[in-house]
Amino acid sequence: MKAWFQKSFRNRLFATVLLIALVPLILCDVLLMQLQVSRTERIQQEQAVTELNVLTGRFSGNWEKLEAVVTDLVGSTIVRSALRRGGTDSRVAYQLLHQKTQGMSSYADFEIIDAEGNCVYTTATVLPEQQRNPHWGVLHRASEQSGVAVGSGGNDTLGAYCAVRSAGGSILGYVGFSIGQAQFDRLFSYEGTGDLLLVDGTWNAVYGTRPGDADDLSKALKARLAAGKPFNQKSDLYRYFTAPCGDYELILVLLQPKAFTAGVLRTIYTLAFLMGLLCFLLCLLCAWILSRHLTDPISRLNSAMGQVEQGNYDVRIRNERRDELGTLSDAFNRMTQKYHSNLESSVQRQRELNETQIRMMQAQLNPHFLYNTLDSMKWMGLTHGAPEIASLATDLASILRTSISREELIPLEQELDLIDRYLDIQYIRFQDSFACEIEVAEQFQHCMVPKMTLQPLVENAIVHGVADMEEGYIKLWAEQDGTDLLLHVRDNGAGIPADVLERLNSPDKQIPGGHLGLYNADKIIGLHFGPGYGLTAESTLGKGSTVTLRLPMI
Amino acid sequence: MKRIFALFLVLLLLAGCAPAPSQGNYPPDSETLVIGTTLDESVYGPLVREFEARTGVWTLVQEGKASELLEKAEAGKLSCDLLLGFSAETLSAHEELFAPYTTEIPQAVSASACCHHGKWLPFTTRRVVLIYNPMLVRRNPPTGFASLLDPAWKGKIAFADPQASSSAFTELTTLTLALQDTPDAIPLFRQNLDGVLLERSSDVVSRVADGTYYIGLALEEDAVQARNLGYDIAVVYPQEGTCEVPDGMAILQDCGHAENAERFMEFALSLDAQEGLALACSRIPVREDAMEERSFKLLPYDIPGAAQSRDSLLLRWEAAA
Repeated sequence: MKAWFQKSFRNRLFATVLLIALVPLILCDVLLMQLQVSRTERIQQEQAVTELNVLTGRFSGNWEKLEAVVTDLVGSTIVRSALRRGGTDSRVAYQLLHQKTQGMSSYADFEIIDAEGNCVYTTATVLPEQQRNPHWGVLHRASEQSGVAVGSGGNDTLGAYCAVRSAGGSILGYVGFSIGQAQFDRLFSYEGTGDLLLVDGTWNAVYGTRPGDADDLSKALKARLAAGKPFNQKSDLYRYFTAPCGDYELILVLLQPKAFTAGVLRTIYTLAFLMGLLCFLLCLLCAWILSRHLTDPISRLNSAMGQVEQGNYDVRIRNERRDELGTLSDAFNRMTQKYHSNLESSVQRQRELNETQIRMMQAQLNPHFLYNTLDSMKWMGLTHGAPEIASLATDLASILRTSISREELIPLEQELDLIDRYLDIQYIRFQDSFACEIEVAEQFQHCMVPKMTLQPLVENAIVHGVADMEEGYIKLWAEQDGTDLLLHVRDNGAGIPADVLERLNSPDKQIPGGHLGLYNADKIIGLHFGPGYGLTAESTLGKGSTVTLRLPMI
Repeated sequence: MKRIFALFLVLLLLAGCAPAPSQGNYPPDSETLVIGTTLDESVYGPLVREFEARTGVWTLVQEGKASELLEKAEAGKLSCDLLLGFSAETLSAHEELFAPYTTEIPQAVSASACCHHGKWLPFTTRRVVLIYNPMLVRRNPPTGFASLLDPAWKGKIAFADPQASSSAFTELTTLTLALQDTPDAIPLFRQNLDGVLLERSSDVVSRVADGTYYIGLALEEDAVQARNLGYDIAVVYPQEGTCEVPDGMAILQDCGHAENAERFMEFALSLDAQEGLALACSRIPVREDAMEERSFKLLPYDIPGAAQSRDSLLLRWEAAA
């Protein structure tokens, strides 16, 4: 993961954009939803608790009154005597019954039951015919205790009865009340959105606002509690809240319809998830496109650069953008082209240099061989009585030595010495038909000049100037001109033809036919010292010529 | 930075947690009991509620068919403590599933109604009776088992398949016992049925009541219950005499609440409960001091013997088809 991150600028950009887009979205999604759900549930819970309090309060209040009536009737002598006497026709008993139960009859049916379980007096419209079993149910319990016993009153009612005992303790009968469906409705007067369920101590249904479901629901909840499972489960459509009701182990259960049932929650979560997924995909796409848009030209540049490094100089970046990255790409293209052409010309120059070097090396002869041969010629001249031959050989050896030596610049003194020797040779050749005068002041002797540059001038003066004359005269002198050194060679020969003169004086000299030496001298000086220095010539046809070398004073 | 983030996450989680709503009251495990029964709620309901009221034990009831419940019990997957209302033959045949009890059998319970191995106790008595529809049968009502062989009633007798219904098996055994002097009683009876075999014994009463059949062989409590519901059924004790076979209750081996199961059995055999059963559920008590005096001849029914010879009897039944 880290490697992926660090590898590419684009990946970092992509991840950042994605994160920025996604994190707030998810947080909002999850947080809002959770907050909403839990807040709603909390509000509903508070509401339920309040409702339960109201209902149980109402129940307790009314129950107290009902019980008070029963207690009154149980203690009444009229009731006792009516029971003792038997029968169902005691007017006073009825009167008492109705009097005591005034105002309460909408909540319960009061009954007076004899010891065998027959109902003898009732506030209901009709005397129930069925005999009750006094050894069973609520009557049995009433007979076992003093006070009111509560239990199922038959026909889906809740009964509360108290035994009427004689002074001796035997049971004369029972007084109590039974509350039916309609009476429970009035007792609780529930007007909320949910439903009620009233169960006894072992979770058998006593009353429910939805009578058809009451039994099934109480059984289901009872099974849950007996098995130790959570009371409220996610798959229920209602939330159940319980509160103890009254003093007889009755429990009131409030069924509150869930604002967010399992199905609704599932739908919400599914939708939220799908939306989140959609947004995630969208963010992914946008982040991808954005990062590519930004980094594509950079990566193209990168790869082009790589290609150039490998040696492919023809690569160019296709570019349509006008922004900074576009400018960069254009610059790259130009730079590559320039580099390519530079490289090519450099290669060309190198090739030329190599050729020159080869030529040069080919031209170099083994100097030792030359010296030895000249030496032999000298000794042979001496031994054979030809001192001029020895002199020629010696001079030539000396000139050769200088010309092959590695030093490019030599003192003027040494160059003049070389010219002397050259002249010695030429005197012998040309049989003293000319004279050469060298006049160089002491201060110039130490100046450094390129070797073999004065010699061609003298040679030219001899060969083209005074060679055919009887009294040829060459003068060589030096002159200082500012920081430059001027070396003149004058002869009184035929002169240089105008066109040749022109070519000699032109700055861009082409090789004049037959004047190679002058050209070389000029070239060498030019290469050493630059374009301001070199060879110039003056001439008067028939009178003579003067060739001048201009050098910097070193 | 990390701490802030962690705090934020915690807040997020808390926002998701709702406070627990008020719970119902959970009974301690020692105060529960699970009963498996084939009986209808109208029969076991009052009994169970009275037991709960008297003892405070939370009693849950699982209804089901006898074969299903026993299959599960054999596989060890039945979560009941007590089986209630199963026929005597069935209980005898599956004694290995039950644990012996320590409850003292009240003296009022006839010894013949008990199993000798101390594995199950009788619950209520089931009497085999003849029933007929008084609207359809004005003259010459059936008087005994011999009437069932009378070809006059051919095709008009309602009887359940003894292969499927244990009550029908009991009735068939009683018939065999009562008509033991009559040879070929079974083939004759079968032929007289003319192919009529109902699925359940409770269908017998309803079919006679709605007039599909004229007479039938049923158990007394079914007939009485139907009568209480308003159906027109006449009950006849066969003149040859008839048998009383108890249905029983047994505690399963290795159940979770054996003590509460025994309490239930004790309560079920108490005088109050037996009388209550008679009054509330129209069942015939198994206690002699709770039931009304018999007005017929009681034939002795050998429960283990009937269980043992069940297969052979059924083979004879099938052969007579």
